[in-house]
Amino acid sequence: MLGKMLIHGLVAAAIIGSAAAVYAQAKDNGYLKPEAVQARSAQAPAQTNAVERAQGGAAADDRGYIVDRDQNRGKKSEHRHEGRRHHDDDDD
Amino acid sequence: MSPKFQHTLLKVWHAWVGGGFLVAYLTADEDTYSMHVFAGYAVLAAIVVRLLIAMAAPSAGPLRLPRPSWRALAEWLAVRKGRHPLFAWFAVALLAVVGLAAASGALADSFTWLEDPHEAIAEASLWVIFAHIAFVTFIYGGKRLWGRIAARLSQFRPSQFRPSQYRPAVPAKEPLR
Repeated sequence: MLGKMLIHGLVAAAIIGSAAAVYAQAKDNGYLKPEAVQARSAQAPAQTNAVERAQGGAAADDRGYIVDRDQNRGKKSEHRHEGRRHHDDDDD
Repeated sequence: MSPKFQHTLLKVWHAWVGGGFLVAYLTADEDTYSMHVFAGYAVLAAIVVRLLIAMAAPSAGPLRLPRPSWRALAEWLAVRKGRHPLFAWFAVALLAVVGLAAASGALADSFTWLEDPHEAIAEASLWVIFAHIAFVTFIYGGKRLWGRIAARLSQFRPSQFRPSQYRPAVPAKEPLR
């Protein structure tokens, strides 16, 4: 009987300890604070804007997907490439 | 509610309090403060649930809170039969001291001056718990162990003990020449 009670107590301790660990992890990471979530969501666009400003607005359509940059290249840059190629040919 | 089910509920509750207290005591360090708070609230909830159930439980059932009395203790000492009255004393003492420790811990979040009393009560409750474990171990296991020791002692008769029967295992050394 004593052994059973000890085992029951230890099992309960394991369950409560696990739940407490999950709670502590969530609390320390800020998942349980609504103001922290709000602050994080408010901070995210500000960071994106800063990146966009640094890259000259190039990251405006960047949503994390791989994008074929050549497809978006304008006519002007194409022309520049062509001219450079011709220039290299002259050197040879 | 059958008495067997009530006993099962009581065992579950006992495991809840014991496990919660163990986790709360082991996580009392500052690094694991969140776990300590969680386990402490689990213990406080268990105490509150126990008190509420005791109020609603039928009289003379196992879920009813025990009422310790000096008269019951004196009567038991006279006949030494039946349930030991110290069970009731320990139950009430444990409920009081563990409940106080949990409640003072919960209040210490708001009233910081309660932190030291909370620690002192928690330490005191640990000793009450040790005493409770020792008492229960003696009642359920210690009596049997003591009976075995007494039986061995009663079998042992000093008159049967003859030192000449016991010879040394190492042979005697040869005399020096």
